[in-house]
Formats: sequence, C-alpha cells, structure tokens
Amino acid sequence: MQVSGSQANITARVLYESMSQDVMIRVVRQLWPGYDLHHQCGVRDIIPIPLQDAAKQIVRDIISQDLYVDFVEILLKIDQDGIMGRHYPIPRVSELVKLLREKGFVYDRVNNSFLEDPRLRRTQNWGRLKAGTEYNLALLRVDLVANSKVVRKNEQELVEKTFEDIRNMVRNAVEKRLGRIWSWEGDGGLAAFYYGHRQVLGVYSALEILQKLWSYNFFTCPLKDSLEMRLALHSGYMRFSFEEDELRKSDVFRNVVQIESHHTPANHLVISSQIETSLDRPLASLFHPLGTTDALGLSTYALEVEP
Amino acid sequence: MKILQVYSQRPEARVFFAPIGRLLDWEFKQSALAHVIQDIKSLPSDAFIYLEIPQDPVEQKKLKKSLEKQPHGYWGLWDPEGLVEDPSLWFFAGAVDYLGPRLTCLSVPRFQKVLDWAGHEAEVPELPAEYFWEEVIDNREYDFTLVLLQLDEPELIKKKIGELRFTAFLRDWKILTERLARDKGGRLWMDASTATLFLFPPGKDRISAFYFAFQVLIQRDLMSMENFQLQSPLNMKIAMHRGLTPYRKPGDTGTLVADSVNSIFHLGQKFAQSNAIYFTSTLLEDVPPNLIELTRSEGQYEGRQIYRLCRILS
Repeated sequence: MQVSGSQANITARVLYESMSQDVMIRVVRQLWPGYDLHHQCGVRDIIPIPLQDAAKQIVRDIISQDLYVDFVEILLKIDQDGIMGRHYPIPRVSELVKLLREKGFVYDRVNNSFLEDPRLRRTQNWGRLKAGTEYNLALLRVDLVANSKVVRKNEQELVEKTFEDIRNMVRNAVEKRLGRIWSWEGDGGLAAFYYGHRQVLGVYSALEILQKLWSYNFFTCPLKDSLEMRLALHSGYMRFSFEEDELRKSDVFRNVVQIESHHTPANHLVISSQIETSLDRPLASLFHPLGTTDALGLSTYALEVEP
Repeated sequence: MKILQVYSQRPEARVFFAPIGRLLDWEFKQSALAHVIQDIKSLPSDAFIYLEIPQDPVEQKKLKKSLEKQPHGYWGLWDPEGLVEDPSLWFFAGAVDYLGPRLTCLSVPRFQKVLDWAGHEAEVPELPAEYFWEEVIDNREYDFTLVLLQLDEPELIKKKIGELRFTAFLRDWKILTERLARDKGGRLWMDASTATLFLFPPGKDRISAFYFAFQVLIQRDLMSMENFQLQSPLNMKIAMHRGLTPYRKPGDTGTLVADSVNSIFHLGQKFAQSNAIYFTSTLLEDVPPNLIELTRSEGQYEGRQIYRLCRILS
C-alpha cells in the first residue's frame, strides 16, 4: 500500500505524542520480532536517539515492510484495550483511521482490523490477507444438484441464464455480508468469510441462498424442473493462498467439501460443530442434528412444505 | 419495428420523443418539415407521425390542407412554442394528438393512450410498475392487488424487547418490507401500526404481489434475527385481495371508504392464521402455476371464497 509523506508524518507524530521510545519498540516488535531501532538508524547502541527521530524511523521501516495497516490496527487496539494492563489512550488515532478510509479501507470493529472498502473493490483477500499466513476462516460450499441432468433436459440458453441467476443470487448473499466468492465452476462454488462474525455471516448467507432458491423455483425459474442445491459451512484455521490448488490442501477446505458431498441432502444446509458453537441460541435453534452416526457434530437446516 | 416519424428541425426532438423509442422499441426518424407531403405516401400505414407546427400562419394553413387531402391514419402536432390558437381545428383535419408547449417529453403512458384512442393496433408491452406510480391519479379507482401484513402477537414482541426497541423495530420493519415491495413494483399504502397494507398496480403482472408476500414469509426467520436481532422468528398473518380501489396518496387515506380495504383488513386480522398466505378468489387465476399445487381452499368468509398457500416450514 502507498503511504503518503503527510500520512507518515502524522503517524510518527501520533507515536511520539503518545508513548515513550521503549513502548514504541515494544509495539513495533509485535509485528517485527527482534526489531532493533539503533541498527535501523545506523547508530551504536549507546547513542541516544531523539523521540521524534525514533518515531519517524519506525514509521519508515513499517512502511518499507508493507506493515503500515497492521501497525495502525495495533495502535487502535492499544487505544482501546491499553498495553500490559495499563490504559494507553492514543491521541489523534482516529485521524489515522480517516486517512486509511480515504485510501479505500474500512475498519471492522468485530475483528479490530481493516479491510478493503467493498464499495470500491472486492478482491479475494479483502485487500489484506497475506499468502502463506494462517487465518481463521469460514468456508461455504455451494453445489447445484444433478447439474448434468439439468443441462441435458433444458435448452442451453435457458440453462446458462438460470446458472447466471443462481451465481448472482449467491454472490449477492455472500458479498453483502463481507464474504468473497473464491471459486465458481458453473454449477457451484466456494465462498469465504473472514471479517465480521464470520460464522454467523456465513450462516445468514446460506439461509438467504436457500430461501431465495425456493422463491426462484416458484416464481422465476424457466427450467422444466425446480433447481436443488446443497450447502455446507465449516470453519477453522487455514493457510491463505491466491492459488486454488494450495487452498485445496487445507483441512478446512477438504472438510467442507466432504460435508457437502457426503452428508448434505438436496436443499439442505449442513454446518459443522465449529460453526454451530459460534451461533447464538436463536440462530442455532433453527438447526437440527443430522443424526447419522458418520456425521457426528453436524447440524442441518431445510425448508419444507407442510404435509 | 414500428416507425415514429417526426418532422422538425429542432435538435431537441430526439430527446423529447426518446422514451418511445427506448421503452416501446419504435424506430425514431427525423426529417425537415418541407419533406412531409412527399414522404407521407411512402410511410407504412401504421407509422406514427408528429409534425412541428410551422411559424408562418400561411404555412400552417397550407400544411393543414395538404394533410386533409392526403390523410394518414396516425398523426399529431408538436407545438413547442404554443403557436396554435385552436388545436381542435387540427383534430377536425385528422390529427389524433396535440403536444403543447408545457410538455417536456412524450411519456410512454401518454403515447399509449393516444394509440388506444386512435385505434392503432400496435402491441403495447407491459410497462415497468414505476410508470404506473408516476401517473396514478388521486380518487380514481384502479384494479389493485392488495397485500396486508399483520404482525402476530405484537404485544408479546413489545413485552420481550421493550417499548423503545419495539418502536424502532416497527420503523425498521416497515422500511425493510417497503423495500421488498418496491423491488416487485408495489408500494406501502396504509400504515396501521402493526398492520401494513401494500398496493400492487393493475395489469398483467399479478405474480409480483405473490412474490412479495412469499418472500416476506419465507425470509421471516432470517429477517427476525439478522435485521431485528429478535430472539425468535416473527409470526405474521398475510392476506391478499384484488379489487377496484380508489387511490389516495399514502398518509391521505384516513377518510377513504372502500370495500376492498375493509375486506382485506378483516381477512388478515380476523380470519387468517399465522405464517401462511390467505387470499380471496379474486386472485385465484393469478396464482403462479408452480404454486397451484400448494393452494388449499379455506371455505367462505364474508361472502368470498378464501384460499391459502401451504405453509413453508423450517
């Protein structure tokens, strides 16, 4: 990310107006373990560095390592929670948030982190996740049932139009809740949630998709038969990558595919226990245990017409 | 594709007549007025012609005479400067429309009325609902589809969440449902605290009202939790009816007397059960084909046969 000169100056001023040099170093070491201010300034350890110079050097180094946004996140956390049990208000920290907003980032209060402003751009990593780093993510797998049968029974043009409608339906439900579509293969795909209450937002998206699919089937679907979908949601720590092959190697990815393909009946949403335990009671009460012995811990939601 | 031929040298003619080309798919052609008499013979008989009135009164008389001699079925006058003193004389000569100086453009509903009045056989497509709402006239009766949403046990919700939050909830509930209705071409019409009445325009598209009611019903548990942070899904009664109803602006309906409005409030508040869509026989032919199998007869109420769509359970 490009950080302007004035932005760097304001950040340095925020640092030297709010903390001692020891604290500054302690803060920067949260991102850069072993950070050596004297070494970075090119002076011997015994030579004192003026507070302003120290702050400017730290900000320069942080920017050079592309850690500026992470650094502002830490300052915000200190302003909110203090440091080492001590209250540590940081004056003008809101100015840093404002400057980042102007650069196209918004602040997620749930996770105390910035992400790209979805009104400006929507990228696979929310503009923040770094390849090779582990994150706690919720993955939603969406699959259209009997896709090849649908293709065989209907005119190609209608099938294409329908699949596009479904893709838009899924995309809207996911992206309005800070999720991202990671892959889409014509008849289904994978969405990821990281920001906000990721498990809850994943469940809301999946519920909306299932409910809208019902409406779509009754009112809009131009095909001969109703469309059916299987949805599965699971979460856990996984290494982020821009390459789908790399993502596929993670347990979270493999598990969500397994849940969808082996344990999810048509027109059902199945969630893992990792998701279920993150839901508050009213939302969790919409789900029922799947009840099969090989699917322990899985819960399901479905809509049905009254008998 | 039908032709809309305009004889005028004004550059703004294209803008004035643009909605007809864009929304009705008519081909717009523009020529100088001088060519009108020789052109008119070669135009297809179902072309619609608008002529800009000449400045010179002598030219006006000549033009009128020529048009009387060589009649073409569908022509009208465009008089952006208000030069015509007595437009009816042009109607006697065969004109079917007069566009005076106060008009800023030729709207689609207006053009449709002209075609209808002139007996033109052009197929008129169903217009988007917003055109209806732009043209709707107070106190005139329309064949509306009415949808009533009545919150079930509102006192219980108020008790659970407190009076202040309940007030905010009602406000947000109306905003959300109105947005869903607008998406489907409807409008929130009457707001009776815990009951809201929506109107859907007359016309061929009656499915939209069902779509709206179905969406509200099927998404109620998600809305309850995500939008209103309630501890349990909202319960609601839904009633639908179609009938002639005099229109008045929202907020100006206090003294309105209409059988259709009374009927739907009675059906929704006194007959309907929670979490199902009840409708009168006036809408039976409008039930979407895929929902016919899910339709159940519920007997008579206030002299009307009542039907219900099956509940969707989660």
